[in-house]
Amino acid sequence: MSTIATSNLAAPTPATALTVLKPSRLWSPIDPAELWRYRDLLWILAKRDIQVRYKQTALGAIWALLQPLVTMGVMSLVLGRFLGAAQMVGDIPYPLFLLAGLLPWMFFAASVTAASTSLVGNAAMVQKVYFPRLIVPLAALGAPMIDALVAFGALVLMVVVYQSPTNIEVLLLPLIALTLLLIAAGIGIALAALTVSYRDFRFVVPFALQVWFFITPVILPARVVPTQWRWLLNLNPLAGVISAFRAAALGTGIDYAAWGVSVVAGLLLLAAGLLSFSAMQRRFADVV
Amino acid sequence: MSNQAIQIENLSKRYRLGQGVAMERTFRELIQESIGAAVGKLRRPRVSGGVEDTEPGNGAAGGIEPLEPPEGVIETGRTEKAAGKSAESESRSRHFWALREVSLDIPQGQVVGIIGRNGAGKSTLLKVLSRITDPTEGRALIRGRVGSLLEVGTGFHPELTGRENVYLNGAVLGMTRREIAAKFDDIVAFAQIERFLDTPVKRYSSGMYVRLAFAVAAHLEPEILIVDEVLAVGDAAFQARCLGKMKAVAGQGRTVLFVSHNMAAVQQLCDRAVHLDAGRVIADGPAQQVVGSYLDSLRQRGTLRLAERKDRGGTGPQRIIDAAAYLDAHDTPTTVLAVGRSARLVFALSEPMREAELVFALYDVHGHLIADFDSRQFAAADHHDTPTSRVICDIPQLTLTPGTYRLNVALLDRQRVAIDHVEGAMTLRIEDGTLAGRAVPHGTRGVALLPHQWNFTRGEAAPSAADQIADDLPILTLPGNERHAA
Repeated sequence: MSTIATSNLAAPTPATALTVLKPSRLWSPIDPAELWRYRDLLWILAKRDIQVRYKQTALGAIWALLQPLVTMGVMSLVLGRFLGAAQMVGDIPYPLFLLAGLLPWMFFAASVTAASTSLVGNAAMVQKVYFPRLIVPLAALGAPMIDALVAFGALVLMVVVYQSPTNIEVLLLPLIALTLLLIAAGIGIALAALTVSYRDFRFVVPFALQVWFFITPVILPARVVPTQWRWLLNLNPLAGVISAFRAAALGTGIDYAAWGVSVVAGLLLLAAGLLSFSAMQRRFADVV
Repeated sequence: MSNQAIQIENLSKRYRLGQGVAMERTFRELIQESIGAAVGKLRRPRVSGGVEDTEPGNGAAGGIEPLEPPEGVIETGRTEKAAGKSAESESRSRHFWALREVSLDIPQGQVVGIIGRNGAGKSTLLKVLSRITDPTEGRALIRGRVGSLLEVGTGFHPELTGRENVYLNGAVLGMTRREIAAKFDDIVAFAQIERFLDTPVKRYSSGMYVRLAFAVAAHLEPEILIVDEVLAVGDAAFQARCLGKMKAVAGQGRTVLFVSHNMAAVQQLCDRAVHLDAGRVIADGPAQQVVGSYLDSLRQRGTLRLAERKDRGGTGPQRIIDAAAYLDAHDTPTTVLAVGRSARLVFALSEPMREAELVFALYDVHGHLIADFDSRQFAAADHHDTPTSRVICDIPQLTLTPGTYRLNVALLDRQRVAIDHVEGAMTLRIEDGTLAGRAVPHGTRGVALLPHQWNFTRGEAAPSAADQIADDLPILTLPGNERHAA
């Protein structure tokens, strides 16, 4: 039988820590130090989602490629050719235009969907163990990130195949991706908390995403919207960032004002997400 | 003061009842709550902290009425409605106190058993101390790192391998990857699953699953270990090893809080026991003493009508509403049976149920499990299609020594999910009797009487025991086997 080592308590809580448990106020703030101590859990949970995702599937990780590529193929045929959308995007090949917009959109949609159901999906854990609850929706972002990276490889390949021109703005892609992550995380975190109490959001989320898709410049460029209404489009926090992503990838020139709106919206959404999460998290175990 | 590992002061926890917990709350309430939060507590006299207390408006009067919850009694909304009471009293009855003014000081290094019937508040206490849920009133001070094992295998993912799950489960319990890696070999050795490390755990037997899960938790090395009912699973040998491990943990000056229905384990492991009932501490002292008084209270409970018992577990809706014992062919129920005679146990269900399985277990006065009766293992034939409302178990011959036995009963579905579970559902006295023509008086040692025969000879070989017993002695035959043979 094994013996217990008495030393080496590399504990998440220092040995002498005093914890006071008392009725919570309407607020239970998020403790960044505690989150940091539990970073391994974040990593392992994200890894679990990724590992489980394609287990026992015949095609495995190819699915991460197939989904955006098939969507791109069907859309460029139906929208591009039959409906004539291809003429509205200038001299950019329509499939390339589509993929460069679909990729950030799909990452956003997958992240929000995964995060919003994450707490409910991990109910057993939430009810039986204490850990910073925020870890759960954050970890849910891991798998969509990996999928997006795989799909990004396909985009790079397409850019090469179509000999699409690039410019220096391509270096901004990581920052643009970060903006997208801010928005996705903010919305996902808030929805994760809301879904615990109101399962309505299970129906709201897919529906809202569907509607959102059409008011976001994914299948058509932002400039098809008349100039006097453009500001309205840019109120959609995704409009600026997805346009910026596509512009950076295809070298067509970023609209910095629109991207700026997205950055500000992202920061606000993240703050709102964290705030609502901390207001709701203390009763997760009781209602999940 | 500072050598108290856990100090609990007037801790109370109130829950809302009913499945509609979340649904009852509308967005309007949520928004009102948020506005309330912004405006602050200045305006609002606080009844107490938790959201579970925030009453939905309750009419136009708007005043906050002091809630008078039923003392630990679970009133179902349904009966309230049937009684046609006002909406106000209905909303009151949707709360109950799972814990009520619990105060305990637990010094560092003490091993404390928490005992009590289903619904007594044991698990709620552990949940509050594990920080999973907030108390409604009072507070608790905890010194040191808490490792809690409220359910074996929390965070296990069926698709992942044993190796991956060790890391996952360890991280969920609060270990870092470095810690887990350092103890990985110990964990695997303790669980004895070396060969299956790279097999997904969904292909594990339930025994292997539990062994692995306990092994991870046992290597957590917290200052305070909180364990809920893990020993209810696994085979006897592994249970013994778990107990050994917990003893070792306790031996190092760590504090252990241990909830169990296994009174033998509590007595063996704990210095001290706390008996909870309806959310309150009703006994606190040396383990032997508290376990004794708890078992007495269970025996008294056995006289309460089963249908009226509130302290039951399981998902429902079917309930075991009656359990009765009959001696020989008598048709009046009794609680007194006799050695060597036959007995019939009849369990009535509140409503017919398909795919029902019934399990009951006999315990002696010390809380040791004596015999387990499981319809799935021993019933004659598949009875799954029959909508069952009565389950009858015939024991052709009682081969237990005279004494008092307590009976726990559970109704399960086909997936072994507990639909209903009542502890101390019945107390049976087994009186003196005869077995194979010989008297078995009170005071006979041991608990089981095995059919056997003596031969005193000069040296020639005796006939083989099997032939002899089969021919001459009435032996215990399982009803299932009997019918299969016929």
